[in-house]
Order: sequence, then structure tokens, then C-alpha cells
Amino acid sequence: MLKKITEVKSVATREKFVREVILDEIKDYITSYRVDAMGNLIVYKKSSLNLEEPLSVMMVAHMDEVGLVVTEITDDGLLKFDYISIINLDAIVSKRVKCGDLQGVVGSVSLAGIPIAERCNRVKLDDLFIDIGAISKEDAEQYVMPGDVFSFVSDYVEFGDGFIKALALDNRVGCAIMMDALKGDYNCDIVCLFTAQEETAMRGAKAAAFGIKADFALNFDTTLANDTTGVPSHMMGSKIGKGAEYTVKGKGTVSDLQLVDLLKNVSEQYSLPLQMGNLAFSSGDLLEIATANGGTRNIAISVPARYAHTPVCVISNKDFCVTKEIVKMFLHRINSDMMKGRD
Amino acid sequence: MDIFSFLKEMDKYYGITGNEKDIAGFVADKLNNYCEETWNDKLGNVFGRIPSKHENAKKLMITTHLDSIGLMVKNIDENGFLQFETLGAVDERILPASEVVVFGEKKSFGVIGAKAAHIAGADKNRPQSKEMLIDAGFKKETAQNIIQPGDFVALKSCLVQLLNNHISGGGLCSHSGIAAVFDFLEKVMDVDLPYDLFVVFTVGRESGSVGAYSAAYSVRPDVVVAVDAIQGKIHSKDQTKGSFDLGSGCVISRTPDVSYEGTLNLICKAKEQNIPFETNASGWITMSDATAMQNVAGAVHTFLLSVPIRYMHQTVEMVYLDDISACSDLIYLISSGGVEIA
Repeated sequence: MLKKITEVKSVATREKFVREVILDEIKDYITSYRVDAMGNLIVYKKSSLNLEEPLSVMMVAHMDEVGLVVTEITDDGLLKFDYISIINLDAIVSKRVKCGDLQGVVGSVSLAGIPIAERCNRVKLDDLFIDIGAISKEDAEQYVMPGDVFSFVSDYVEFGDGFIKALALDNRVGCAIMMDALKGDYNCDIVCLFTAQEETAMRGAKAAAFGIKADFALNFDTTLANDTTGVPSHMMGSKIGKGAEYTVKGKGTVSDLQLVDLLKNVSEQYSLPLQMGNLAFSSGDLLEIATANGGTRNIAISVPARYAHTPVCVISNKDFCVTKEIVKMFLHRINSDMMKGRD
Repeated sequence: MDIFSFLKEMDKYYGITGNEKDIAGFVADKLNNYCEETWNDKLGNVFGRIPSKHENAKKLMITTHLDSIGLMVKNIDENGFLQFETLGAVDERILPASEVVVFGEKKSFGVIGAKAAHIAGADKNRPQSKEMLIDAGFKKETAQNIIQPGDFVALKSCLVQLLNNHISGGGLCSHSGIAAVFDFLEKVMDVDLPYDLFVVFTVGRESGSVGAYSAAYSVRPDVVVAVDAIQGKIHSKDQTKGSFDLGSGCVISRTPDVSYEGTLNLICKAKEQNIPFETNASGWITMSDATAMQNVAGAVHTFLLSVPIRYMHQTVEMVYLDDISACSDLIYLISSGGVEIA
């Protein structure tokens, strides 16, 4: 399933493609769903027990991926672009891109054309463009317009010792975790937000969460595994192969410590490896979810990923499976004891 | 010949400068369909011969190179990541977030890492290859069982068709020339040629024309027609010296390392026959296989025909398919005796 949803290209604002695939997979396991004006997919699954007031758990994962948006077509038919979400421009030179069926490549001015003193500088947006093989502006205009969105091209590959490289692991991994969880039955009411536009500063989550009051919110995403050689350990974030990751503090969010304890408990009980991420960077959708509707107790559970926001994002299959399991067990363990939170 | 299909078939084979075995096998196999004799030499050059039916025919050798830029494993670090060297003039800007194939005991997929944008922001300079690491997904012990320092690494290519008969993929700086030569060989099947025809696919052009020297030495041709790649203009205002628009046709070099009279005659004939071409004029030698072959074993008449390639030495090299056909037309023009050499 991960292969299926990572190979669908759905850049922020164009989530409908992957949304259709997701809906198709989960429709038999849910009570109802709706799609809002921003393209968020909101899915409801009622508790399997006939409780008067079941606990409600909101789960969140964004459907969109990073990409490039055409800003201008030059006289020669080259496409100037801007990026959606933050991208390390050093990582996109000479990569394939696609807009629907239209193939393109990210071309760059030749090194010989750059003044010698600047040749070691980081790649600049001005030096890059998308080349679709058009021979003039008029020619290109038959196929693209400013505002059209290109995604990267990257096949799903299993390699090494149980590693996976695929497009948009950030955050199809989170979607896959939710899709897998939805196939089970739980005591609590569940609402799943497959959000749009996380990559443009969590704008979808803000709209999706509006008016949906839940007792707890769980956010699923990839998290930075900056664990290559030479990185000091305090900059690593998390490590691939060491299991699911939870964050205590993200940028602007703090995980509910009782939820964290429960997670650690589940990890120990079922021998599912768990690690704490130590880089307090962006919390993704959780920032919007945690503060919406007067605030919700929350926790972020993530899969460590290397090379995020590049076409070669890598995760460990073991971490992915562990995270799926730990989330399901965690959901089963959420019971009325959890209502006794910090007052 | 359907040039794109030929290139797509060849796209699966890699010829990394210094280890061209993978693609040499593919080429040698194809060459058997056209040549009476085919053989390799000790360096890995692939030769073919179509003897002339005429007595005392002069020897004409068509040459193009097998190799492309690549990488070499230098060391496996304590975490199983591979440190590497670049081979040939790799444009290092393409390396971060590239996919690679490591030719160890078995082929292994890998990626060259790149910092996530969230943490790359603070850097002033772009990463250098000596700081980069290949991630093949192995721990050190597993890696050491199948990979060792000195193993070659190819930059993964996927040839795609863009608009207007343009194509893009890795390795086109050598594959275009190979396609042009095979397109030519299709044209001369059953044609009575005035020359004793040799074809050589050389190794190590990206490492200083290593194969070219020995190929010329062993064959001792009278005439050499070298096929190579040349910088393609990226846009109409691209002022880079020595670069040409895609769609120029074949680029004929008028440089000190080619035959002055022969090339002049070629240009006149090309105009007569409406074969699209441009001229690369320069006072500098081109440092191509033509340069190597011109004087290594006595003096030889040389021609240098090049296919314009955009984004040279990147994995998205771009070519206009008709430029490859134009190149093969000019090879045919010379080999069929249509051009007075001296």
C-alpha cells in the first residue's frame, strides 16, 4: 500500500489525486466522510461499543507533498518556478519532474556560466528552471501555464537492509499509518483528518479541525533522522532503525506527558521500539490541531526519515511497521483513565 | 533506425569511466550484426571491421566513446555509508539527492544524501563531493561483504521523452555518439564503401582519452572520424563559449586537431546536401579522442563531429533526436567517399 500511495503525485493544493486513492482503500472501514472546500478529507469512525459518551480521538496526517509551481514561461520555453514548502535547492538540480503526463527536468545554468568566485555558492533559484523540451514561449504555453504544479519523480524502491526510498514518504507514511489503523475497531470514536496543504504552513489542518472537538489528537508524520556520519548527536533528531519516534517538544507544541507515558507503556508491553526525537523543529499540522477549538491534548508519533523534502526520502521498513503497530495498540489502550489529565 | 528505442534499450547499461564492461557488452553484441569481425583489446575498447571490397583501400576508423562520468567508492565508514570520489568532470551540483547503482559483488541501489531543507538553511556553500555520503542502506559489516573501496558507482539514469523530439537522461554524452554510429552502420549495410572501415568504441575518454591512444595505435588508420558531444545552449541568450543550440544538427569542429582541408570539404558537401550543421571554431585543441588519435602513431587525418547536449555531465542531459541523425548522415558522407580528405 505504501508503494501505491507514494507513487501518486499530489503536491500541496492538488491533493485530490491521492485523496481518491486513500478513500478507495478505507471506505469499507469507516462510518462516514466529507471533503471540505480546501480538499481536506475528514473521516469518521464510530466506536464499536455502544457507549453513551465514548472518548474521541482525532488523528491527523497530511496528504500533500512538496513540489514546484511554475511562475513564468521564458521566451525560450523554459519554466521559471518557485517551490511549495521549503526545499533544499542543492538537492533538486538535475532531477526529473512531472505535471500530469508532462515530463520535465530541473535544468540549471552551466557552471561555466557562473563567475568563478560564485561557483561554490549554494544553488540559487534564479539559476534553475524546468525544461520540458519546448522551443519557444508559444510552444510551452500549449502545455503549461503559470500556476501549474510539478512534482518530483521518484520510484518506490526497497534497498539495503530493509530500507525504502520513495517519493512523498513525507507524509504518505503518516497517511498509511492512519489507513492501517482505520481497519481495526476501537472503543473510542475516531475522526481522521487527511489534511491538505500542510506544506504551505498547515493551512488545511486549521480549516479541517475547526469545530471538531476531540479529547485527544494524534499527529502522524515523518520526522528528521539526521543520523548520517559526522552529524553531532544533539543535531540528529532521531535514528533510522530505532523504532517509532515521539516528540515531547516541537516548535510551538508540547506533547501531553500523560499520553507520552501511555505510549512508552505500550512500547514496553508489546516490545515495540520507541525513541524520542531531540530536534525541536516544526511540528507540522500539530501546531494547528493543538490550538484549535480551545486546545486539545496531543502527541506526535512519527517515522524517522532521512533526506526529507528531497526526491530520495528514505525510511526503514521496520520503523514503519513498528509505528503502525504501536499506534493501533495505543488506540486500544485509550480509556477513561486518560480523562484524568493535568488540571 | 529508431534512435530513441535504441537509446532506451542502452539506458540500462552503464559505462563508468574506468569500468566500461557493462555497456561494452551491449555494444559488442549489437556490433556483431554489422561487422565481419569484432574484437576487444586489453583496455576494453570494442572494435569492429567492415573490410572494403576494393584493393589497397585506405583505412577509415569511426570512433566514439563508451564511458560517462561516475563515482568510485573510497571508503566504507563506521555507519555503513560510502565515501566516494568523482570520476570525470562530474557537475557536483547534481549529486545531493541522486540515485546511484554501486557495482560491488552485486549491483546495489543507493542514494547520495542531502540535508533536509529545515537544516540546510544555515550553510553558505553547497556541499562538496568529499563531504557527501552514499547511503546504500547497509550497516558496515553487511556493506563490507559486497562492497569495497575501488568499486565503481553509476549515477542512475532514466531516459525520458520530452516535447518536440527532445530526450533527456544520464550518459547521453556517450550514448548519443554510440547511437549515431549505429544509425550510420544501419545505413551502410550492403553499401560498397571505398574505405576499409573500422569502428571503435573507446574506453576512458572522460579520463583523458586513455582508450583512444591505444585504439589508433593498433589499427593505424589513415582517417579518423570522431563522434563526441558538445555543450548545448540552455537558452537563446546563453553566451557560454563553445555551446550550440539543440536543433543545430551536427556540430563540425574546425580546430587545430582536425584536418583543415577535409573539414572544409565536409562543410561544403553538407551545405550542398542540406544536412543541418553548425561549426565549432576555436584555436584550442578539443581534448577529445580526435586529438589523441591525430598524432599518436604517425599523423592521421581527423574529423570531429559532435552532438549538442544540454546540461552536460548531469543526469538529465538533453539531446534533440534529429541532431543524432544529422551526425550519422555526416559520418556516412565521409565514409562513402563523398568528401575529399586532402
